[in-house]
Amino acid sequence: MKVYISATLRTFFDKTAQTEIEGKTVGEILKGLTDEYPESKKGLYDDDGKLRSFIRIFVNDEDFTDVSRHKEKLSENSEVLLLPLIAGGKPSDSIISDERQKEISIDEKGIERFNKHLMLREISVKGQKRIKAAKVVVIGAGALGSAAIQYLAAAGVGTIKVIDHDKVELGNLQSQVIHGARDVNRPKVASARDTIRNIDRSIEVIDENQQLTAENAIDLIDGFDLVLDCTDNYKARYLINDACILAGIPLVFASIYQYEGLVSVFNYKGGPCLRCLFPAPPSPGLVPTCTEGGSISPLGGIIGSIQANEALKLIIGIGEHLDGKLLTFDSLNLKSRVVNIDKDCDCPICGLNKTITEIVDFDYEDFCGLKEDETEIPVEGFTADEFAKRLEEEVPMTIIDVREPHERAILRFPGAVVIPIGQLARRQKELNPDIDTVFICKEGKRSILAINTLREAGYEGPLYNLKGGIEGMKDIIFSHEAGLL
Amino acid sequence: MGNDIRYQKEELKYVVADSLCKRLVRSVEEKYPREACGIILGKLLENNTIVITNYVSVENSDSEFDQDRHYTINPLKLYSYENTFAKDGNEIIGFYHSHPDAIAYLSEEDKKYMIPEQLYLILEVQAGITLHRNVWKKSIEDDSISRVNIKVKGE
Ligand SMILES: [Zn+2]
Ligand SMILES: [Zn+2]
Repeated sequence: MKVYISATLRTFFDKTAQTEIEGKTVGEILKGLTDEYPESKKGLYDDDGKLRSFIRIFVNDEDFTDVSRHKEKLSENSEVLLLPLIAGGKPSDSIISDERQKEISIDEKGIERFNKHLMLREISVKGQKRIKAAKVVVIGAGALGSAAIQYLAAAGVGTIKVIDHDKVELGNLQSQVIHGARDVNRPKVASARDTIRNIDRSIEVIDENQQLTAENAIDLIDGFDLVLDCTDNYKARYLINDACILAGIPLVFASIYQYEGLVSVFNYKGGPCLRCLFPAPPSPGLVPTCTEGGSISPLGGIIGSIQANEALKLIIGIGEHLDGKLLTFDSLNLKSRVVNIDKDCDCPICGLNKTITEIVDFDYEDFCGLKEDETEIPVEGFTADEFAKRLEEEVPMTIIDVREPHERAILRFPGAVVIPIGQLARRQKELNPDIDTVFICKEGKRSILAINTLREAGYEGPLYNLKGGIEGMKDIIFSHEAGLL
Repeated sequence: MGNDIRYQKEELKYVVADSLCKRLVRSVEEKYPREACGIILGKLLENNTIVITNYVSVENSDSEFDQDRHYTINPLKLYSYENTFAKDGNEIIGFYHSHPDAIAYLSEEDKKYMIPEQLYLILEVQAGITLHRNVWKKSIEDDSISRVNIKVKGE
């Protein structure tokens, strides 16, 4: 059959304009074409093997591009046209509509204050008006929130709501730079509000000194343009993700841990969400507890500032966004990466068959510490000294390290086998029931969970917990450095 | 076909006459606040230089409602144009379109439909006046997108 190749696509076909390909259907002809011109495969198909967006196939003036027509038998003497679709549009990425932007005016003072924005062609007056029109919710006035809130305020965001139920503690001042020594014992939102007012009195600040719950989440964010998740726990993260999807509001997500930070944009233009990445929160014992967390002072500032930057780009409608992408930043080794996140069509809240249609409080209370469960058999354990003595006497035992990779990177435990808690049940054959097995984690809490998990899975050998975890062993490890490490 | 310009391995240089440029800008501004679109034609000279010889304004086949933000060129229309260009030795070297009240950068939609090795000229038209223009090209090697410089020559 005759095949005509558009001038715009001939680069893929050795400059050929017209060719004769055996085949009775579009599918057969495409196959024949790529066999004859192997180079054209890259031009015609994307990585998933689908025809690229700009390819159009016409037979006798009829569009046969859709794969559903590729098996249709074509009449003889037909001519197959391989053509491009030339299309596009202007960037209309702002989450603030033109109508709302047009209602805003900027006075003399504003021109002076935001001069550095107005100088940027991509922002200019229109962008600044969008920023002023924007209504943003920041959940969490901690380390991330400190940076995010202050930059949003300084940039001129017109309405900022801050949600946090905590009071300022002395230990917060190491990283939560929105609060000062005089704010200790005051609600964080009160202190945040004062700081915003100090920056710009014209900003409308709404302070919500309450905890986000399944009941109030949607009400608290409804009517806003954008939500920033600056919280520090999984319960809140999933609540916020679910609430944003159900309320149809894009979300700038961030989290920090020790030296590392993550940022992403969820629920933007139908893009993926937190549950596409992790369908459900990890069970409490599987993640380091809050007290085991901690992070280096400027990390919240770095990551919170990136969050504010993402928020502003969404509001102004410029640049690349982190939707469908996850930015990871490692402040210890100064490495930063952007990895792609796919939308999961099985996602329980934004997928094709949604199983979550309202926000439910999942059992995630008391995240910072394991929940007491009376039915569990008490776990036997060794103190740091007892354990050290057994090591010294070379008592035969298997040591299982259930810590996260980044924790192990900081302090490796020599001679330990690494098994994540999630794999324990499956890998119990690796343990020898004739000798003692000792579980270690950072603080001796996750190792209890590990032991209970194994017992539930039917393991019958002796299991011990290292009380107080590696933390309690530190001095001993270091004083025995030569022998142990 | 004579010397196909898309097959030159060496770095290509592009030139356009100032008068042609001005005509194109005017035709785009006339369409404001709708998106204008069209075809850019050129010829390959010696020393790897492509001279832009003409442009053809093409009807935006999007619905009236979408025309202030989007453009589409009907593939069959393009096909019929291709046949006429070949006759007078011109070749399609790329396409242009305007961004009414928006910057002259590629939108996600623009990137999605970019054909490798074709030029894409975008004109930023603010309140009916063209403020900026950028030309972009997607590499055939790895789909990376870069800006292309076009030399404007007076006559
Ligand atoms: Zn465009
Ligand atoms: Zn999802």
